[in-house]
Amino acid sequence: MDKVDRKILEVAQQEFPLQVRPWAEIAAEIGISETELLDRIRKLKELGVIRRIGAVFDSRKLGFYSTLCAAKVDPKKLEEVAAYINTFPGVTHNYERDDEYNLWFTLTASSSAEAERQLRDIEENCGIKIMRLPARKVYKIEVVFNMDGAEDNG
Amino acid sequence: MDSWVETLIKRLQGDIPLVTEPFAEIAQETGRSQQELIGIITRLKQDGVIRRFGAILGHRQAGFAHNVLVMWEIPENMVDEAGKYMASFREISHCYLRETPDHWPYNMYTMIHGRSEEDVNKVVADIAARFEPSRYRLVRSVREFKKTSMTYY
Repeated sequence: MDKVDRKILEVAQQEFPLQVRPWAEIAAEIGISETELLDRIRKLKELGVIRRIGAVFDSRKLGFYSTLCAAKVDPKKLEEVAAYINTFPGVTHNYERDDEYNLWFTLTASSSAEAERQLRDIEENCGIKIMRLPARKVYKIEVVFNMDGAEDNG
Repeated sequence: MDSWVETLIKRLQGDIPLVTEPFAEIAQETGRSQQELIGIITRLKQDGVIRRFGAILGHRQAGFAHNVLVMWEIPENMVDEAGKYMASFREISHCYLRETPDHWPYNMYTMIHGRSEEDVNKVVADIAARFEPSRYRLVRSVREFKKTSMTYY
């Protein structure tokens, strides 16, 4: 990643121009050609620096229910349990963490009843107890990373 | 929500094409004119159905190696003030007030990202000094088993 790539990451995370030639506008803001911009974005995607360029929806506004979940899982069974949990399409994040609650995941489902059905399925199939931590209020949900001072990796 | 909008949501939760006129391509796929499509996406954004439109980064790959979840026990009468203060840190990407199941004291949840452990610790120390939570719990991510965007419909 060089300086131009970092600038691209910064600009591409902001308001995407909802117009006929959005990439041309982004390229102009950065000061490179549209072709160079698209080439660099392709490379950043291959590297996994950019996961996706598209829309992020508000699950509640679409009528979906979501909750953070935590469980204490026998370390010997952790991978197996994580793999089972990952088979549910509504599980978007799943992490091992350094705590007695060593598995943390988020589940989004079409309703709270559907979420509950899936969580009970996981509890029964994996022999674990899941703590449900649904949100009462959101103060911030932002996935924009400030690229200032990022390391130059050539 | 009508089924055409569902189709559009399905399309927009993927990648927009890396071509000169990406919306023209999506318009063609979904059977609308480009101008109409841009108008609809703009409205979905204004209504907050689309929270954000743009690039989503892999934070590890982008250089943010230190990511911690910190849970705080904040007195109920201070949660709003604490939530707003926590949200003001650029290192904090997510801040939620959550329900507290039996015996679980933590009600505020923050995801803190930094390039170093020091970055993260500074934020934690600042918040801890200001709100003197009776307890807080910091958990680091050890392994990522899954990270993806939600697929609706």
